[in-house]
Amino acid sequence: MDVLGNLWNGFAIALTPGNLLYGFIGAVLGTAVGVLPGLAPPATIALLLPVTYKLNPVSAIIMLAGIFYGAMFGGSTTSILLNIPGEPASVVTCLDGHRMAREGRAGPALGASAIGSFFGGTVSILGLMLIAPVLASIALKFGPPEYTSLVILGLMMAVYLSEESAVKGLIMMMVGILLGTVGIDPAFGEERFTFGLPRLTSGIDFVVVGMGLFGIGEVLINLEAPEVREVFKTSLKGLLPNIDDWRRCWKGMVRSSILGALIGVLPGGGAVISSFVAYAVEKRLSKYPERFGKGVIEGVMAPETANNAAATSSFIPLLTLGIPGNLSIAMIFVALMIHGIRPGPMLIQEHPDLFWGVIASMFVGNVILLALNLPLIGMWVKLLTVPYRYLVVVIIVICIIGAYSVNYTSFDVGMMMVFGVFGYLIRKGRFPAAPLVLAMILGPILERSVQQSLMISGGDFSIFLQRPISLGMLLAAGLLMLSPAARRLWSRRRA
Amino acid sequence: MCRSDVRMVLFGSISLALFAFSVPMVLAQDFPTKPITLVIPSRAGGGHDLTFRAVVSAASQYLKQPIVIRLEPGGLGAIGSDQVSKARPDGYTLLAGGSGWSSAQPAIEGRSKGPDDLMALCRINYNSLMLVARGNGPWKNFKEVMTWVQANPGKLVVGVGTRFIRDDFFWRKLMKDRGISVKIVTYQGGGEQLLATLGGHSDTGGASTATYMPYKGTGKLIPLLWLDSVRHPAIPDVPTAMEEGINFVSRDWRGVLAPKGTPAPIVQKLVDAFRKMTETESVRNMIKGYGDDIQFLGPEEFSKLWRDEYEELKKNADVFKH
Repeated sequence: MDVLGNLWNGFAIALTPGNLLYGFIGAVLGTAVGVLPGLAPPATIALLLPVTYKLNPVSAIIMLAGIFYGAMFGGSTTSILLNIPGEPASVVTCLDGHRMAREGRAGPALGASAIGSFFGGTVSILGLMLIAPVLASIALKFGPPEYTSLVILGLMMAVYLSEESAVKGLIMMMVGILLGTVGIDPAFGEERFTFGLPRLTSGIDFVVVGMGLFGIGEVLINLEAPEVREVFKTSLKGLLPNIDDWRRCWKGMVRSSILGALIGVLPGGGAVISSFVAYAVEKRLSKYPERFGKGVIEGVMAPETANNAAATSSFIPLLTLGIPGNLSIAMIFVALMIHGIRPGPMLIQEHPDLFWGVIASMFVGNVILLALNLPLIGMWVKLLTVPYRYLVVVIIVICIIGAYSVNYTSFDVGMMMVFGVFGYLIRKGRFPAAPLVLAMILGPILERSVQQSLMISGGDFSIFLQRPISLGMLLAAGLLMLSPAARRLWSRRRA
Repeated sequence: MCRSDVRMVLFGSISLALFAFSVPMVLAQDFPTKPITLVIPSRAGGGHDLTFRAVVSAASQYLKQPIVIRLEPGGLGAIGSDQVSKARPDGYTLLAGGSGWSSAQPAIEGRSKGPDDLMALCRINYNSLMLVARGNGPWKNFKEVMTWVQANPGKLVVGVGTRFIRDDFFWRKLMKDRGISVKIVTYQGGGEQLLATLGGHSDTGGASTATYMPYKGTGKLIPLLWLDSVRHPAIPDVPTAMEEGINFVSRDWRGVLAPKGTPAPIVQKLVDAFRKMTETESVRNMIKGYGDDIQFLGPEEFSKLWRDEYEELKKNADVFKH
């Protein structure tokens, strides 16, 4: 067996004490970066690049890749504990994760997130190992029209996230798309909704909106009616998901892994899109969809599994085509170049030791992260025993630091506070915040890809219907939109 | 305004003027006495961030003081550029300049700051660009692409990764000069754009030599032009635009800029230090690792080059208007 032999060699490289140490350092740093909002993996990797210059390439990649997916592991922690999404891919995790924490099940939520992340990462590594070229061809098949349809499908699923009414979800989605248009438009370079403020020309950052709507919004709601939280009494027992939890979510974990691995190869929003598509799929297939958003473990497991699977498969375009799909991967590309290795179609043949070393180190890195994160759960949960009146201060400080560190300006902090008040108001009106944040991220991608498609077709909208992948996704989006109406019609006829 | 206020203001401005006047005199002798700030007006991990982090890693060897990097992303580089242009011209605040925010933005959009508001210290290096075509098209080289464009006006799909500079400028200027027509599709960055060319969604795109090399000889990408004044040693058979009769070079530079009015002795000291940094072995190796070279230029040559680029963009600003 060629693959097994190669993998064996890979493990021989990855399991040397030195490489284990670098893997561990990367995992610790990555977890820290993920937990602390405002610190982003690309910046951390950029800072560490000069250090890796002295290492051998495999050690360097093991460490940097550890930071990258360590951040994915850690990103869910603040979402679950404090309702602060540290990165776009863990917005969805807030929905059920924080609800679970408030019901005294922070432990199982964190456990489900860690184990799901591990499982998703592992499935995705298997995909990378066995069918990387097949997965890479997906990335090549996706041109502007396909992206357009994928984002439309994604937006439909984002609306499906709202627990109450689809109409309120749609309204929030529209607000999100509008917020996404702030800044310089991608095709003609005109300023939109900037009010002449230079700070707004590069648009509104996700961190500012996410932390305001979720973190500060939650704080304001709680100031109004201090609720008695169970967390502080019962949570220390039952740190891990129980057998019943497992029975409920193992199938979803498998589905989410596959979804994440497939969507993750697409550059740009792969990890984000996969997280809420996985959530929407689980909600759709669930026997009790109405309980999603009210603290079900599947709602934490699905997005966390998917975003880690997506993070791992985002290496595929780099390792097979030589093209980095996001900024973190671009940093790892640079690290490889420093060591004289040019990733591309020939990487696997030319540097088998590196390719298999990296694959094996991803397995090792995932195990290290799991081993690191499970014991941390006890500590995180203890954090919640801090009385809420003190915790509030922590939440506000984290949000302020996070917002400030995006562009190092207090302008963003002020803007985050405004979004905090807005978050409070929409919560009073029972409007969901998640579709807004997701639409804000997807809106610009949608706009760009529509413009690109129409440039290609010369203004002819039928380009979206002529390409089979695009047509298929549009049909799926249409069905999704009609399904509640159809279901209502059907149940009325039966009644 | 009452009299004491007037006196206060008068006193304040006189002492301020005296202070400002005294600063260069003190500084010229033993500059620098404190860390120097280099503002990079783009995101962490971008090309400028990587390059300048490598260069200033050697700063304290030659200046006895470190150069501290401050990232000021936002406004497509305008925010950091504006800040430095308004900073005290004492050599302690410098800007990492680039073709995008120091030439194209001010020349075409009137945003950010150009050669009228900042002064040039030195260029560190530049990136040029290679035009490539998808492998399964009816062409083998640039001439055949042009023939195809002439026979099929408005049909060629050109993917570009950045607005205003590089291949965007090349194609728009070519359309104007030769009266041809192509469809320019703007992508978010070079990676997405090259992926679209590889996937056949664009007919042509742009690549750096580093990203092109793994595809050399595979037939998946056809090299068309190298947009520098001389051929690149790694791709010796790819002609330059000049050789094809197009007067165009794309040199996306990274340089050090300072507020206008920085005293000449301080400028000299900084330029010498930057020159030595770029000659340092460890710095050179790091830059090589990114797939780049050092192409150091002193203040005179660099400011002329910058001015020319700015004027050229300004003269052709109409090609970007719709």
